[in-house]
Amino acid sequence: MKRRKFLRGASLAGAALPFLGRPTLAQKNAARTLKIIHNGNLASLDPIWTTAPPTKDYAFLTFDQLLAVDSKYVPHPQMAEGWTFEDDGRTFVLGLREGLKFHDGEPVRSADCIASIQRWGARDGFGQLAMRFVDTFEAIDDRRFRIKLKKSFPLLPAALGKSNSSQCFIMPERMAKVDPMKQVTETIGSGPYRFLKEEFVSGAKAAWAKFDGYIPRKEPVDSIAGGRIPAVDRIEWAFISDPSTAMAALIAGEQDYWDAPTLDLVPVMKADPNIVVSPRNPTGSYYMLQLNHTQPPFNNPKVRQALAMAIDQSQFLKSAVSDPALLKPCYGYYGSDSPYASEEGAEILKTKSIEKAKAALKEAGYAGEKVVILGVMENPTLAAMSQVAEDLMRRMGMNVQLVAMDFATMAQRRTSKEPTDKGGWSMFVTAWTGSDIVNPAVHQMLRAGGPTAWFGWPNDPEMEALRDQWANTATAEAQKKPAIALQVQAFKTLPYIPLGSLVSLVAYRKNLTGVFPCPVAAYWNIGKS
Amino acid sequence: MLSYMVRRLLTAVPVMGVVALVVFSLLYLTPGDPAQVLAGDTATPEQIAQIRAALGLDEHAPLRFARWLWHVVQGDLGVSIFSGEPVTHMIGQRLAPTFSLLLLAVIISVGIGVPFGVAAAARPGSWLDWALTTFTTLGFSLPAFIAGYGLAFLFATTLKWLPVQGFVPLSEGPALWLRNLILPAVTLSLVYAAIIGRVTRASVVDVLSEDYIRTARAKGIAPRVILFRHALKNAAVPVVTIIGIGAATLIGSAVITENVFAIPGVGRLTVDAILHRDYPVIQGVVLMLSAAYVLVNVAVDLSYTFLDPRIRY
Repeated sequence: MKRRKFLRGASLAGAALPFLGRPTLAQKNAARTLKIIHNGNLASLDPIWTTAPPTKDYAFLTFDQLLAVDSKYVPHPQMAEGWTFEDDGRTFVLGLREGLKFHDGEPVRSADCIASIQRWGARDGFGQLAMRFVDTFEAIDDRRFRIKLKKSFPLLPAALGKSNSSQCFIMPERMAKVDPMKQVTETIGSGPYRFLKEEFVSGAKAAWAKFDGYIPRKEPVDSIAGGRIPAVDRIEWAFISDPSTAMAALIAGEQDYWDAPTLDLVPVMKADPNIVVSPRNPTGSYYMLQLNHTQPPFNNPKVRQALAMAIDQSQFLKSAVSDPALLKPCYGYYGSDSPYASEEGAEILKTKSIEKAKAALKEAGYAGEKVVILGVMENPTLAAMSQVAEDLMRRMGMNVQLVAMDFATMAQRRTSKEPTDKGGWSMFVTAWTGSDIVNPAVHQMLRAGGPTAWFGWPNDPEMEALRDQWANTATAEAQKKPAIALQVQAFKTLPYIPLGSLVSLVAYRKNLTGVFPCPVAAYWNIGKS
Repeated sequence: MLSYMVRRLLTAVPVMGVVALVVFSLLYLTPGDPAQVLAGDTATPEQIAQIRAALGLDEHAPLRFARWLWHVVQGDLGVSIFSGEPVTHMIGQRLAPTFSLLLLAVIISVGIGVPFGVAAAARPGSWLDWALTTFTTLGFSLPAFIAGYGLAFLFATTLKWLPVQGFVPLSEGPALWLRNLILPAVTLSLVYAAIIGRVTRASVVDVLSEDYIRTARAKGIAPRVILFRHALKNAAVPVVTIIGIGAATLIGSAVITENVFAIPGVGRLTVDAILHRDYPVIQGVVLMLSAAYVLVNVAVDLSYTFLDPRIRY
């Protein structure tokens, strides 16, 4: 081979490399395309298999629900025409609306709904609770099915229509029959937008097209209930992990909507007349100090109480956000929009005194046991609050070590029940949305069944008894009493310490229309002028 | 030369085997459990154990490594724990943006570094030489993320000449492709151009002091011809070496640049996989990068024979 020939050939080959790019798959019309900056990486396309937030957001566009709760957490029909309880509440009958179709054109049938409920019920916490009451499922015909219950379970509609964690999305029967421990590979949904799998690049790009066969409800939108109207032809998600780049893309008009703007960049965006920054999730994010109840020193309830006396929620919240309008202290175990929102029993959290906490700590017999904080540093808010916790406990005279790590490391280490010198832990800061802590059924952190409870494994049989009492109470009004009694008991044994809430903001271009308050990242009804 | 090429490629196999073993061992020792991450906050320990078993994560490490290696030999890098997609497909989706970025960065770096270096070498101590020194100092000391933000702020946010982020495949039009890649490629090429400039200058200065250059000058050959035909050609071997090594190193630097400019390339894939402990993807990407590194080095070695006919393998 001659040298010149080689060099020429190599040059041509190099020049051809970029052509390896995928061909254009869709004609994009900017005015009819909603471009969204999504913070998380959409990896899995199965909302039952994983509870990862991006997968949940994907599912809300792609799949529909039988029922959906409104802003007051009252369930309403969504795909359902309606439902009835018969036989003293021991039979639940649900009818589907006419003309509902999946994205492959097949009609939505009772069999699809039953299989979807069963798969969801095998994985989700509220679903598992509901399944404990279920005796049998029976398809009456293609549009009606019956669920026979072992005993009355009035919360079944709320479970089927819930907005938090893992929702009961309706998939074709063949997808819903897949082992809940394995991922579905198809993306045939029942929702307002059809997922364009051929354009999907995990962690980079996802796209949807309006599903022409979708029939939205006529009622006005109210949280996740009401009409889910596909207001644009196409939705695209870009996964931009760098906040400065995301902000610049929004300001430059390359993107239309940013689902989770970093709070320290908010003032810059507010100064731009073309950008709207506003709270969208009315429930906000609730932060908590999760304590390990199996290891010293927090296996001692008096040490937990001493720490609670030192906590000043505003200090924790201010460490993350300087704008006082975004800080919302919350002296309760339920979110402020919960029907059970109350400050009953919260006196200990209002103590806010280091001196009193020191005295209580001494009285508790604290002997300098090491406190290991698992600090997730990739999240600025969790990192800041972990540092405040470290400082606070040092000032109380405790022996503290803040261990910096990423989320995946924390997710593994928090499973350890070993002592702190053998890879265990004492506490970590975590956050849930308001809809995750709205009632005792969905509130994972209020479970106190010891080994079966959430990480930290609080053990309080009285709390468990009160939850059962709540679940077995027939009316919503009567449920308030055991729910609040559960909170009062929780403030005595402190499964975790509430740190208050922060308002969650979204940022979008001024020409977007129909952005409505919603506890999840829902993109139906949003159009462009 | 063919036998040399085959020999070099064969020696790369054990190198990549060692890389694979080291990466697997490091991942095995790194804390973090993908089953925990994907099961979510509400999963019970039983559910997490079931997921771990379904993914084969509960098997002994040597068995997992042996199984993975056996599949790799057959051209199968496994499937992502999180997306369930084949790793080869995921890497394939990300190659075009990364190759485009690297190609343009190399072109810009060589385009700036070589002429700048030659010009500075031709007039040592001149203002051009000082300018090269200043440029290389800046290029070395300016981190890619600072340069990237600065360029994006000036050319994208303020002047609105270029887009802030994203990648457009060449198939959608060369102009669009180039428009999206200019800022990240310039960001990536700053350090690289600085290195090439320095090495070119040093190498050309060396050659210019050789006897045969003095002879050429004595014969009255034009300085431009001496510089480009005689000096640069003979100074090319170290320059090409640094271009090759730099090109391989750029693959690592691309991680930051892809993140700053939201380019869906191999770098972003690697970071996402590490954060999620998506072991098959991490292993696949590292193996691919090590193969690329080896291939670039082999290509550089082979190029010597074309640049300097005295070199024979």
